[in-house]
This record gives sequence, C-alpha cells and structure tokens, in this order.
Amino acid sequence: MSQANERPITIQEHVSSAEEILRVNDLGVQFNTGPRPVRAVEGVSFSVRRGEIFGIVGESGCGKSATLRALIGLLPERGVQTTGQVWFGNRNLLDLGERPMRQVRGAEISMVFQDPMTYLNPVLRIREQIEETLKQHTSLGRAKRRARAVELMQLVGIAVPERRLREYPHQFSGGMRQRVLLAIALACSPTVLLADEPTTALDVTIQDQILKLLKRLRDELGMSIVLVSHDLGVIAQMCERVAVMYAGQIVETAPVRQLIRNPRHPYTIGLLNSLPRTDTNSRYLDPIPGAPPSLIDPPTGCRFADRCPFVLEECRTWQTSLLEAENQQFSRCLRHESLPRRHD
Amino acid sequence: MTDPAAVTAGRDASPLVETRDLTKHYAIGGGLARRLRGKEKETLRAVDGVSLRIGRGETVGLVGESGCGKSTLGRLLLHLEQPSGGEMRYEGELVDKTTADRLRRKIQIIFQDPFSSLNPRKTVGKAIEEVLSVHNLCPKESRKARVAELLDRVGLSPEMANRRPRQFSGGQRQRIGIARALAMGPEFIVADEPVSALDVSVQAQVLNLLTELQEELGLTYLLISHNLGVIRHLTRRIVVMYLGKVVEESPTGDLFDDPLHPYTQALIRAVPDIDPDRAVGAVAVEGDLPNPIHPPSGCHFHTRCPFAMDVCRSEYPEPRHVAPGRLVACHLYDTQAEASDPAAAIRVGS
Repeated sequence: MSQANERPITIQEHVSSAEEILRVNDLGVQFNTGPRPVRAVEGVSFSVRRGEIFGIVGESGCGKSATLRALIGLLPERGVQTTGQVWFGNRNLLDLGERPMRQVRGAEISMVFQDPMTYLNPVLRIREQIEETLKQHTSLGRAKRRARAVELMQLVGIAVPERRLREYPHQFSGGMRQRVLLAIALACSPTVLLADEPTTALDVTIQDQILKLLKRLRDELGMSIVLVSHDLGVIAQMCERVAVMYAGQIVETAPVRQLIRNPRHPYTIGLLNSLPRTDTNSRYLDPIPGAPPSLIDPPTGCRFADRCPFVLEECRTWQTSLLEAENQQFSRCLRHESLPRRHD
Repeated sequence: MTDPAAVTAGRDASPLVETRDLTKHYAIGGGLARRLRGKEKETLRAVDGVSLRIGRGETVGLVGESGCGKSTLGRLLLHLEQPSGGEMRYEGELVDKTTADRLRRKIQIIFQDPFSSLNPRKTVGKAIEEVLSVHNLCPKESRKARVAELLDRVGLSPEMANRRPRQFSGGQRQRIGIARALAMGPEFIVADEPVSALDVSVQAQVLNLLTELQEELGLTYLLISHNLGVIRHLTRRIVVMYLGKVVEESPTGDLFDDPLHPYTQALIRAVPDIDPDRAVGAVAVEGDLPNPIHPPSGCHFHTRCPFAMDVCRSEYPEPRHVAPGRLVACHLYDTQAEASDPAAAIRVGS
C-alpha cells in the first residue's frame, strides 16, 4: 500500500486552490463482472469547492452513482476497475489502501444513500449505530459519545432524542430514518458529504424537509456536499454548480442557473424540454427520442449522436472533450455555439 | 378534451364513473399473537367516504402522498377490491359482484411496474394473446394480427412480440402494459403511477402516448400520481387525498394558481422548482405523515396545519363547494359567508 505522500505530485495534479476541497481527475470505472466489460464511467473530472453543493444529474445507468461510490472506494473490489485520481487535500484517495481509506470514509468524507433502511442495522438501537461511528473514528469516551449522539439527533431535527436513541430503525418513518443516517454521517464532522438520491424514496413534503435540512447543515457546518439526483428540480434548488452525466460521461457542467437558463448541450436541452411544462398549451411533451447506448460497446464520437436533433456527420467521429461554451460552462458538444437558446 | 366543455363534464347529469361515499376499511392485527397479548383488532380506513364523478373523455388526476388511499381507490374502481361501504356506478349502472366481470372489460388499469405483472418466461406476444383468448375477444386465427396491431398502436414494432419481458427497457415495458390494457377495448383507464419508474426523457414519451390514445380512442382516464408536474400536464381536474379522504377537488389551473386546502398549499410548495430563483425559503410543512391506522381526531391534517384552530381538533370539516367546481374540506372555509375571499386570508397568513 503506497502512502499518498510518497507519490510525487505537482501542483496541477492535486487540489489546486484553497477553495477546492476535492478534485476528481479522469475517473474511470469499468465493471468486468459480465461476459464483456461495461465502461460505466469514463473520463469524469470535476472539482468541489469548500462549502459548496455540487450536483450530479442524469438518468438511470448514466454512471452518477458509480462515480460517487468510486470516490470513496465503495465499489466492490472484485471485477471492478477504477482508474484516474481523486485528490482530497494532498492525498489521492484511489491510491490509499483499504485501511487508511477507512479512516477517511465515514469521518472526513461520509455518505448518505437513497434507502436508509439498507444501511441501518435492524437489530441495533439507533444509539449503538451512532456511537459505533464515534468509536471507530474518535477517541471520545463512553459518556462523551452518549452526549454527542444526543447532540447529533438534535442537529438533524429529531425531537425527544434521548427516547428515540433507545429505539430501533423499524420504529422510524422513512424521513426519520434518513435523518438518522444523516446523524451518523455527520458524527465526525466530515468535510465532504456525498449524498446519493437522498430523498428519492420520500414523499414530496418529507423530501422538502430533508433537502432544507441538508442546506441548513451545509450553512451551519460549512461542509461541502456532492448531491446525486435524477431530479432537475432538486438539483436546481440545492446546488451551486452541476454536472450532467450521460452514458458514463459528463456532457455539460456549469453553475446551476446558467445550465438551466442556457443549456449548451443537446442532452441537457432535451432533459429540460421533457419536463412537463406549464408555459404552453400543448398537450404533448417534447421527449428525447430513443434510448441511451449500451456501455459495453459505446459508440465512437459523441454518445448522444443517435438521439440528437442537431447531429452532424463529424459528431460521430470526433474525439469528444468538454469545450468551453461560456464562462465556467463546458459542453461536450461540437455545436455548442450554434444550439438554439431554450424557449426560443 | 380540447373542448372546454369537457372540463365541466364531471358535473354532467350522467358521469361515466361515479362513486358515492366509497369506503375501504382493512382489519389490522387480527392475528393470534396480537390477540394473545390482549390487543384489539384495529381498522385501517384506507379509503374513507370518497365521492367522485368522472365524465366521459375526461382526465382526472388523483394526488396525495403514501398512505393517502389513492391506489386503494384505483383498485376499488376496478372492483379488484370489494368496498366496505358506499357504491360505484358505471354509466349509471351499479358495479357489484354480479356486474363487475362484465364491466371490467370497459375498465382497465395500468400499473407503475408492468414488469411485475408480466410472466418472465412468456413472450410478450403470448401475454397479450392470453388476454384476447381468456376474454374471447377475437377468433383464434386473427389473434396474432391483433397483437401486432396493438404493439404497433403503442409504438413498438410487431416483431417484438417474440421477445421476453427482460429484453425490454422500462419505457417499452410500460408500452406493453398499455397494449395489454388496450387489448380489452376499454373506455375507462385507471393509470396508477404509470411513469413513476421511468426516466424523464422516457416518461415524456409514455405521457405523449397516453394523450394520443385518448384523442384517438376517446378514453377516460383517472391518473393517480404523486408527481404534481405530471398531473398538472395531463389533467383538467384534480382530486387531492390525505389519509383516506378527499380534502380538495378543483379544476387543474385553479388548484395550482390558488390552492385552497392548507395541505394542497404545502404539497405544491414542497415541489422543488426547476427555476433556481423561484425558491421557497421555509419548509413547506413540518411533521411526518400520521399513522393511517390512528389518524388524528377531527381534521386529519390538523397536526401539521399552520392554521389549525380548536374546531379542527374535534370535528372533521364537511366538504363544501366554495366556487364553481371547487370543493374543499377545511374549517377555514366555514366562515365563507363572512370573509369575501378566505383563500386570500390564508395566503396572507402563509
């Protein structure tokens, strides 16, 4: 296991400014579990700033969850090949061995998931599950751990924490379980919280509560959040910057207002147009025709070409990369300049 | 449906579908273990006195969160569940044990996950043929042609009849579910979260298909969904349920422009807006959904309602008409005679 600091690094390679807390360079994830390898994630690069909520949005199978899991080594070791770099401070997380990684995961970087019940132990009281994390990562004594558990429950807005700490996960509603999972994730005051569809399984009024809680926690604790969601509304309300993923690649990244007002990739335009709208009398929506390509043998050139209304011959052959479309806005589209403005 | 008269069809003299005080109660905890511990049977009032009228060619939306009874209501309309009370009429005819089988041909359902209702070992062609043969809908020799026609109708190629369900994507499976419902030649379709499992780009394709079919075949829809965007797009009238009861019923435009019930207001405010600048600062509504087995006394929403008054804790508000086509069950509107616009009073409060 090589230590991160043994590796010679240049300033461009790791986190390059005080603002940046996490930098992902050319991340690739390949699943070799089937008869043929699946390239779930390819060439994904982004950075997350201090105190920022960074969104990753895309549809099923676009690689957004695999990206998030790869960051903290949560993908199964067997049959999965992860390439690239994930710089966290001066450490490349992909070079860390399992042991040092475990010190980072759950303490400095922690994660919440779509379905909290899967990650809570049904036979342990909530108290034990929160204290377990504190035991793992801190030197707090028993009494201090107890006090911290109460504090964490209050932080995530659970009333009567003393009593609820004695209860089991099944005694909690879906929204409350997500709060418990958050309490565990926040136990060691992480610098970065990774949230994978944290509200997708919840009712809309409960989703609203959890999203606002996440925002409040970000403001109070100053942590950064990477939020993965399929819901553009959630992304629009929560994030400062966002990356749109399609077929394993980032196709567009921009500050969230800019992305929604003036998308510069046909897929982003298509996604926004697919949403039920209220500013038109048409009974018909504007769907994206077709379906995403297989990631076993992804097409060369632009992966969206087959579904794209603006496709040109050269789209199918060019070596795609993110091109600067506007200030801070990058698009993996040759025609980003000539695309129509939305609602034109 | 582009006909504005259709908007009011729900109040026509003879609606296509009508329910009166439709009720479904489930007995909970009749098991031996519970009885030995001396616990009494409890009742889950999944649907508690729902009265609806749906006009021919209309699309009515049914919204609400988990446990509000919207799916149970859908199943009651198909007579897949026996109601515990109240009645349902189809074209004026009472739907009961004796008429359900005959009427069920005219009433079909589309589910959220058609995959779970398809036999994985049968080709989809066989699955659709089965419907045709069981119900004697078409002579044996022309069944294959009819299957091809149905697949084509929902935007699949007829050759796909030889594939098995797992070879289809989510959107295609939903199209198969729709083809199977169409095989019966229905007039009224209950669509229970038809696009909830689909990605937005595919969701739009399926919603367009539903619209197209309605225009061509003159179908009537009850669209059950938790997704307000989808409901708003597809329907002209919306029914909002909370813990088994209808709390508000309004034309779609009015409901979104000026929601009356505090729960409807919260529901609409809770949806994250695609416009980052149209953000709502405060939480839309505090608190969890109450346990539906022990709903709060009085108005079920009073535990979460920012405007709750004493009367709300003790008395369930009678639904009342407060404007043309607008029905609301909320004590804030009891004093409507005095206040000129109670909705405005509430909005000021919020």
